[in-house]
Amino acid sequence: MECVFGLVGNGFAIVAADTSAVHSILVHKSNEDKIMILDSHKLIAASGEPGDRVQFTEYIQKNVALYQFRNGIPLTAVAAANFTRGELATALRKNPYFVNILLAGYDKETGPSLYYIDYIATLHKVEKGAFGYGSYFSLSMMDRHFHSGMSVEEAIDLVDKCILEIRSRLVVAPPNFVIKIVDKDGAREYAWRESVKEAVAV
Amino acid sequence: MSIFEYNGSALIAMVGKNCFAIASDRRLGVQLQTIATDFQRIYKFHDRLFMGLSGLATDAQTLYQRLVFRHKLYQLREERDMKPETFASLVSALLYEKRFGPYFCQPVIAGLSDENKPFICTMDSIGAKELAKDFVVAGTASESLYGACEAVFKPDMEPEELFETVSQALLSSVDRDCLSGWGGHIYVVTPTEIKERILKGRMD
Repeated sequence: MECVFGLVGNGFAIVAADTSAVHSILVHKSNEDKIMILDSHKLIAASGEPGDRVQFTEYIQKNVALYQFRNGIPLTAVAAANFTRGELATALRKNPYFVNILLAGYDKETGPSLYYIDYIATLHKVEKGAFGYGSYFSLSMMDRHFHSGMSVEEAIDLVDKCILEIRSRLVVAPPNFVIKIVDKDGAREYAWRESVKEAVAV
Repeated sequence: MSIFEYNGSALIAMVGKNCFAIASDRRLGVQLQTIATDFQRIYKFHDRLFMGLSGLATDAQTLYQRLVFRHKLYQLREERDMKPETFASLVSALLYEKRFGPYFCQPVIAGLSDENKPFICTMDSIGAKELAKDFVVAGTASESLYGACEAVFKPDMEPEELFETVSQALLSSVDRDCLSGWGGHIYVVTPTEIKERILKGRMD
């Protein structure tokens, strides 16, 4: 089951997602990157229907880029979140996308932010959020250890605690996770947490 | 589970002496899981008109965006704010437009109409207006809310007493409903000022 979670720290936002691509009982691959770099200072961690996930996040990414080309300035994180919600809401009663999204962004004026957008287009700004069965463990872990203004080290420690909890307590726990961070220096991959290496074809 | 109970909500609007109070809970949930404890359900359209939206959060957000759009256009064209009665008719019409594919929301509208007379009304998800002289309620805790409000309501309460009454009614009702709660958000509106207060209740 897909696990996505994230939190906001002191001048940064961090998101983690599992990296298994699963079809029924088969694991297609265990290094699937589900966190898309939307633009220089935004990340979208998405979980849900695999086709919808890729199609929808790419659609959002291209539209965000188009805005920047047309207007010469990038969208703010709140604007990107509201645009995403609008697209999900419009499609909801026609052809819904089954994608849950955590949008992490950093704006110079307002600092880091995290937006919870579920597949029926409910939008809410949060300090910590999670989707999937893993959320039962990661949200509780974060409720216990999270405080406002955590440093990167403290936040990564909390993320690792959540991953450990998911690995030990979720029955079909995904083995590998990717962690990405966004701060004033931009959005980038922070680390992978692998317990099963992807087999390489000979 | 009903679609109206997916996110969980509780709303009250109550009439006082030349004033009104509108209150909501603060929980945003996804069925049994709580996502946030600071969710905004009550929106201000102008200084004398407030609306709370209970039910499915996504439809509440969409409906709010459509209504604020219509109200802003009205302000530009008419060069004045919309009266609460007019706004209620607008909401009712917008909801009935989607009669065979409705928004899963129940609005609670509260405002001060001409001569500072308080106006409250609620409607169902397809726009059937229900005007009341004393109080209106909506949300997953509505049955409890009806009982609590009926028990403590008195006509012509002053703003401070109205605040106490609405707070007690809201908190005691949401404490019996697992899908709503995590505090309260209450606006007490008189012709001269708007007092916004956050209530701390049982945080579960």
